[in-house]
This record gives sequence, C-alpha cells and structure tokens, in this order.
Amino acid sequence: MRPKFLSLVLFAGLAAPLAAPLAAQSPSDAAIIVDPQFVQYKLGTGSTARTITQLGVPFAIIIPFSDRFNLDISSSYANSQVKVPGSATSTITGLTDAQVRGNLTLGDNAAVITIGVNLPSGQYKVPDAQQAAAGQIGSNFLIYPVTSMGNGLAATGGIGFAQTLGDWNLGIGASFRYSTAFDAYQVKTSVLRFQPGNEARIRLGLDRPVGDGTFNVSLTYSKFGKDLADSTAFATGDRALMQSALVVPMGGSADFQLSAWDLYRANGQQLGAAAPWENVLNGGVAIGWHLGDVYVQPSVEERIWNVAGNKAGLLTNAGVRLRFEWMGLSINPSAGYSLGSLYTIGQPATDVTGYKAALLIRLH
Amino acid sequence: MKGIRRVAMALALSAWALPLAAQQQKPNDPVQAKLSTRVSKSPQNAAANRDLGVWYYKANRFQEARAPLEMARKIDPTDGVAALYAGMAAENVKDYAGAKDAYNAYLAVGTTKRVRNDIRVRLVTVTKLDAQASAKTAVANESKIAQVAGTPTTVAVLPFTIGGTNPDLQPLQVGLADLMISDLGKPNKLTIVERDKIQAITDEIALGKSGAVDQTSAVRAGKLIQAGSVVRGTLISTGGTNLTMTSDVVSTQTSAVVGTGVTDNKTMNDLFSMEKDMVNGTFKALNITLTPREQQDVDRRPTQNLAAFVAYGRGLMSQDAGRLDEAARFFENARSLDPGFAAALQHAQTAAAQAATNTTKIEAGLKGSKEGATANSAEKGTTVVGGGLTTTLNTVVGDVNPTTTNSVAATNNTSGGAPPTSRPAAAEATGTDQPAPRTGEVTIVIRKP
Repeated sequence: MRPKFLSLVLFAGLAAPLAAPLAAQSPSDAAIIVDPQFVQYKLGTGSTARTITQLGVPFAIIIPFSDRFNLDISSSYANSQVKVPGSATSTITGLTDAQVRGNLTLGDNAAVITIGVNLPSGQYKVPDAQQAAAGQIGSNFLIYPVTSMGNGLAATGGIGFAQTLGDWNLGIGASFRYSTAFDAYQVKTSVLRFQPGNEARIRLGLDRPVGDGTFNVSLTYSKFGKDLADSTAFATGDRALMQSALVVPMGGSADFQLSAWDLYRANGQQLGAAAPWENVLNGGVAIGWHLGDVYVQPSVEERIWNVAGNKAGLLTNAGVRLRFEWMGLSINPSAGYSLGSLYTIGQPATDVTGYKAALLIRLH
Repeated sequence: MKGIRRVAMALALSAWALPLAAQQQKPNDPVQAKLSTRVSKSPQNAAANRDLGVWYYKANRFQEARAPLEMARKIDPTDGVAALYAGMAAENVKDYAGAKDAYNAYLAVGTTKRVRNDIRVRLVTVTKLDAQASAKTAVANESKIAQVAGTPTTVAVLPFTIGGTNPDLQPLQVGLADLMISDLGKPNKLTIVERDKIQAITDEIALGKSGAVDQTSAVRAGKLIQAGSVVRGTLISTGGTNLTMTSDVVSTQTSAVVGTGVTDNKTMNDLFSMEKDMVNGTFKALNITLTPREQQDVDRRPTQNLAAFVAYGRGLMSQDAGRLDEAARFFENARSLDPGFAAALQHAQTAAAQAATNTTKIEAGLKGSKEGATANSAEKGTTVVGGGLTTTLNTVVGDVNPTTTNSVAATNNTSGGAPPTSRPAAAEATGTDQPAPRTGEVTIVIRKP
C-alpha cells in the first residue's frame, strides 16, 4: 500500500510540470527532460523465438538553485514484456524508483560534493508471472532504457575533483552507496527479502581538447559488500567500467565521433550458483552534420560479450539520431536496428534481432 | 523645448554607453588571431563563434562582435553567454530591437541570476530607446507607413492637452493618458499602444507642443504608430478648483471624430471620476460593451490621492526625459503619499534600478558565475573545447553517483547504447538478467522466517 501510494505521489509530482503549458515554465531555472524509448529484441527464430519488449519513459527535472548548487529528480515509467511461445507473457509495468540528487560545486569548478537518495517508488514483491520481465531488462549486453524496477531505499554520498594538468583535465571521484533491504520477489505467499551489499566506487578520468574536438577516457571501479537474500549471503563480482570518446570537427558543420566502453564484472556468486566473470566491450563510430537547422548523426557500433573467456554474444547496432530546436525545446529523435547472436557452449548460436526508437525532449 | 528634452533624454539614456564607446578599441592580437582561425576552421562551432564575439566585445569593437555572436546564437540557441553579449553589442551600436531580442533570449536560457535581474530592468530602458528609434524610422518612412491604417480596435491615447493657468496640472498630461491606457486595456477587448511608443512619436513630430491636438495631427500620429483610433483629451483649469475635461476618439481611417466625445465640468476633487467618464465614453464611441465585472474592474481607482497622482505624473515626465533619479524620487513621493498606489511603487523600483543599470553593470554581474568564467576564458582565448572543468566535474558526478538524469541529460549521445552504470541488484543475484539461459538452473529458495 505504502509503495503504491508513494509511487502515485511521486508520479503526480513529477508528471505535473511536464504536462504544464510551456508558457508557465521558467525554462532557465529548470531543465525538464523526458525520453520515451521503445526497444524490442527477438532472441531466436521461428516458433521458439523469445521476444523482449520495453517501452521506457525516463524523465528528469534539473533545478539549478544557484551557480553552485543544483538538484535533480528523476525516475522512469516502464512497461516490459517477455513473450515465449507456448507460455504466458511475463509483463511488468509501472513507475521505477525515483532518484533525488544534489550537487554542490566548490571553488572555481575544483570540486563537487554529490549526495543522492534512491527512493523505493518502484515495483517490489514482484510475483512469479512478472519475474522474467523484471529480470531480463537488467542485461548488461542487450541494454534496455530502464534496467531495474526497484533497488530499495539507498543513499549515496560522493565527492569529485577536477584539476587542469597542462592540456589535460584530470577528474577523480569516489562515492559510497548504502543500501537497505527490500522485498524483491514474492513466490506464492512467501516474500524474498533482499539486502544488496553496499558499494564503494572510485573513478579516474582524463579529458583534453584535440584541435577543435575533445578526447576523454575514464575508469570507474566498484567494490561491493555481501548481498543477502533472506539468510543466504553471497557476493556479486566487483565491476570496472572504462569509457572513452573522441569527437573532432571535420570542417564545415560536420563532426566525427569515435567511442568505446568496456564493462568488466569479476567472478562472483548468485543464488544457487557461481557467477563467472563477464566482459562487455562496445565500440562505435558516428558522423554528424547539420542539414539546415537539423543535426543528423548516423552511427554504427559493435558489442562483444564474453563470459569466463567464452564468446557469449555479438551485436551490431546501426542507427540515426536527429537533433533540432523547436519552440524552446531540444528534440532528439533516434532510431536503430540491431543484429547479432548469443552463444552458449555446446549449443547452436541464437540469432538476435532488435530495433529501438527514442524521442528525447528537453525543455531548457 | 522639444529639442532640449529629446537631447537630454538621449544623453541620459545613453550615458552608460558613452564611456564604453569612448574607450579605445583594442587592436588585433594573437588571441584574436587564434579565435578567428578557430572560426575559419569550424564556422559551425557555436563556442568558437561565441568566443570570438566576446573577444571583440571586450575589445570595444561592438560592430565586429555582432556577426560571430549572432552566428553562435543561431547554432546554439541555448548559449546564454552568446545571447547576453549579442544583446550588449547590439545596444552599444544602438540596434535596440536587436538588443531586445537577444536580451529576451538570455532571459529564456541564461543562468546567472544577477544578470537576469539586471536584464529585466535594462529591457525597460532598451524598449524606450527602441520606441524612439522606431519613431524616427516611422517618420522617415511616413509616406509608406501612412498607407496601412490600423484596425479601429488598436487604440492610442495621446498625452492630454493641459490648459489654463495652473502649472501644477502640467504633470497630468502624461498621468491622465497613462491612467486611461491602463483602464482601456483592462477588459482585453482593445489593443492599446504602449505609452512609450506614443510618447516617442509625439516627441518626434512635436505633437501638441503648441496647444490642442487638431484632428489632422492626431490622425498623423495614429497612422505613424499603426493605430486605428486615437484618443485625444484636454484638461482645462477654469478658475479656482474647477476643471473641464474633454475627450474624443478620432478614426485614422476616416479622419473623423467617432461618436460625440465627452465633456465634464467638475472640481479638482472629482478628477478621477472625470477620467472614468472619459474612459467609459471611449468604450462607448468604439462600441465596446463591458460586462458588469469588467466595468467594476475599469471603475477601480489605483489611487484616491490627487497629490500622489500629480507626483506620479511628474515621475512619468521625468522618466520620459531620461532623468531617472529624479523620476525615482517623484514615484517614491507618490508612493509615500499613498502607500497603496501600486503603479507608483512599481515605477519607483524600476526607475531607481534603471538609473543604476547599464551594460557595464550587467557584465559585472557575471563575476564569479559559470557564465562569467566562460566569458573570461573567451577573452583570453583559453576556452577548453567541450566545456573544460565544468564538463569534467559533471562527468565525475555522473560516474560516481549515476541517476536516470545522466542517461537522459546526455543529449550528445549517439543512437547507440550507453553503458550500464549501476547494477540491477535483485536480477543479478538471481541470474534473471541473462538473455540466454546459462548452463544450470537458478532456484529462488525462500525460507520461512
């Protein structure tokens, strides 16, 4: 009852400004962003094909109270479905957790203190029939716009520093996330109470101008405490995320973007089994240019998934994104198509096809 | 007289710009060369254009600053620094319409609160200066403009003609016109021309300086400001406290008086009821019928205090002449005589702020802000492409404390996927996040407490 009520209050509170007439807004005092996205992946072919669909609507409100302090509030609405021929469709729908975060800048952009709270306005006590949909969206390989319907009440405190080193900017940061227990699943009348381990995170990054473009690279490392499912303790593997991007103008109004990220999760445990290490490597290239007032950016990217040294997945994404201003709004429609395979040892590869459409709208 | 007033006003309103204009222009230097090269290489780079424009502005080369700043605004309409400097550059070369446009854009996208407050005040002055510039243009192009008559419901109220021997009534020429403009606009059934525009035109053509406004002059003024109907009023002191107030409406299309006009013979104490009679007579002449509620609204008096109203009128005259400090004192006097006189309070605040607000003060307001840092970097040619330390810090925050805001705020993302920055704890623990089932079986065991 309480989470439902909280969800309604949060949804009403967050959705009301989005629905308000633009004239009533004070755009320079707040940014309002809504990013509806539709993603569908089909795993396999023919009568055994499994289809996973998600309509996710992340939204955020950014309120700069001053030059030094800003607050942002965000959440998502999502409808996720897993369809397996011959089985009932697993569906989960509703608001996810809401995040409230405050950032205080110190000095001349020298440091920032960040404090955030994850409010449990999402979906909990997920029943049997919804568990497949609630879980599948968390894939690190087939990335969905909304990856979790609820992670429990949690608080994060962190600090970041930035420093110029010649032509480079060094950005380092650290944070600690304290998580509380929540009712994750409900199987018949029994509830699985899940206590995620606390998380310590450090980040080191560098960026610099390259001609009229930029280059950045960063590494974020997360170490987790023990998870607890009822009375069973286990540990997820630590994570490392490397990200890098190079953006350079190509003359005229065109630019070229090269980007890559690599997510590594170390050996760990999950309920009833070991979780071997896995690695997802993603590389992409995009070229953008202006067609009149519209920025057009086709892109292509390749993603490789590896589990315990074995190839587990391969995915190629191709898409196009537009960006233009309209009535004080920044409009970013995009569409993409995915093609690839999933691999399991000793079994034939599973074909993967998918498509994605998104319409990001930002009111400045 | 008219010449003296206009010169005084122009001097007063432009007083802030003159010291800047008098400052020596800075010649090209290596920074300018570097910024120019950047623009040549990347003509569609908003930051490059903005930085070059800011450099020119800070070098007091306002005309040269305009093109790159306008280009930066076109490429990135959300760049508050470009909008601000475009407005100030336009103002310094006396393109007040351009300054208004850029300042309004800054109010929509700029982030520095002090500057936003100053811009709001400055817009009052710039609007007045724009009205004066437009009046000159209108008179210069009178033969063309006069061909296009305004609609009958577009109404201009000319300053009242004050007759008789009581010099204390002179401030009522603009005070009564201001009051009528306010009252006629209340029901939202007429388009009322702003007093600034009317004053600029009447000053430009020296209307009413030699006595009552004749029909021909009223029609000329009306056509120049694209009004279809012109309201003329007179107030004559007929001895002692006795007054005669008259008004009528002249059509700019037919050059004829519409209706019969209104005449009131009352005493000084009845001034406000006489003004309401003129307003109601104007509505009648224009065939506007008011609902009881609208009538009630129109009948509401901003003040009952004649002395406060006269002080208010003096304030308006001083403001029109550009004597803003003096105007602020008169408005303050009006407010102290009647603390409930809202228009006097508002004008007192605006006039005082106007007197102190100029482009130098506006730019000084950037000190210590992010936008100020951007402008300073531009002047030195040290802007780090991509946003410098601000971007670095934002990225750090997004990495150590990620929320949904990060994924949706990154409008520079490609159509591809951003990496997952947090874990779906329960799905990961149960292995239900795997797209292909792994070898083995995951069983959720729930023990009874």
